[in-house]
Amino acid sequence: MTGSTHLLETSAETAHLFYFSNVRNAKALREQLLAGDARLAYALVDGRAVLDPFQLLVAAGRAAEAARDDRLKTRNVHSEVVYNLAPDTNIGGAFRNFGVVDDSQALAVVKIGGQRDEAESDLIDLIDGTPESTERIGSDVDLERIRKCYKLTPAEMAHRTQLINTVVTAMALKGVTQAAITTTSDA
Amino acid sequence: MLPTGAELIYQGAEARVYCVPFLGRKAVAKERFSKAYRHPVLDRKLTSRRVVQEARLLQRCRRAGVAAPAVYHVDLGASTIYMEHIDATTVRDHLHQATLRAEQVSLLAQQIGQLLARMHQADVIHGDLTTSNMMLRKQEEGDQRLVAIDFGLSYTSTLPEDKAVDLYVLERAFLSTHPNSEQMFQEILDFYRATGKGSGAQQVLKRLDEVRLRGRKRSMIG
Repeated sequence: MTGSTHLLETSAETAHLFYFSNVRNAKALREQLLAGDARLAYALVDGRAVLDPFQLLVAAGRAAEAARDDRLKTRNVHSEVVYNLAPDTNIGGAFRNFGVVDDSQALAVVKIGGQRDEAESDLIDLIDGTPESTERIGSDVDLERIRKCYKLTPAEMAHRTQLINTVVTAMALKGVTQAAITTTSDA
Repeated sequence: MLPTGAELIYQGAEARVYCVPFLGRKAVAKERFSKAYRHPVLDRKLTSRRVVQEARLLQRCRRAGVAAPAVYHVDLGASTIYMEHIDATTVRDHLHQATLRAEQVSLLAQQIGQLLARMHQADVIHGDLTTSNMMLRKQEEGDQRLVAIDFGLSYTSTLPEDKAVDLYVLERAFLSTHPNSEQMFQEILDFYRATGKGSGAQQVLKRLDEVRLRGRKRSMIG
């Protein structure tokens, strides 16, 4: 068993995480996703864009909430996970930066709901690569890519213990804009 | 809805603060509640706006190099911000416990002065500066031991007046909570001046002298 299962507290849903290295069929997977193949009901995330499992879980938690409230911005709950990893609302950009691309070699996979064993055997079937322990999530991260994707300052990059928190903060504030900040107080 | 296992740690006039399990971490959930005396539509609008504002200001502070809790999730429907749980003691408790050596007090004054200067450089007005809203991390994380919390009354402003009032509120809180802290507070202001040099700190401190004479509220006459 290599996957891991996590409770998404805010929606009471469950998320399963998996990790694959030496992936050889990334191009085919991306094309399958693009074609809307229903069998690929997973979020496939490029390992280079993943710093920590927590990043994936925050994206998954928000996606599960959006699905519950019927306010998904993308096609389904799994594409929403990929979209939620991005700090802005550009859907195409989110898929280019965080989703599976033709040269992806490591893939982090998020599955919301369902049974872990089923998802796991299905994924081993779909992905031509080596299943790894989810403890390896984050080990293939490309920090330069993270810096660019989240537009981080040198000081934010230097603060390694807080880097994951800075990334998650950027994700959490995506779309949280509706209020104008004013100096008036009515308290 | 709050996760099961939420433990109430603080109840204020505007919000309840819980310690909650969140995706494998310990987190703080701050839930703003509605006010029965306000019109429901206005109430929803105000509450939601303040949740958004608080979350954005937390990020703004972090970007500016002011240590503040990370935002994990904003649930606008439930008016709740999930944020980093900081393993820390308040500056208030730290100053009250045992006797601190003079150089320890100076070091703390330096950290506070620098934090306030950086926050004001980013045009963030905290609005409720007290020694309970500043925390010292138990574990050193780089040089960022001091963390500012509770941006529930915060807003942005470029005005020296607003920044001066921010400092004045802290001064009053300091002197009433910590007897004989005049010297420490002066040190804080000295570090504030040094760090905020060239970005208006001087003007703010000048303004602070005026605010001290008249109090927090500005006269509306004239």
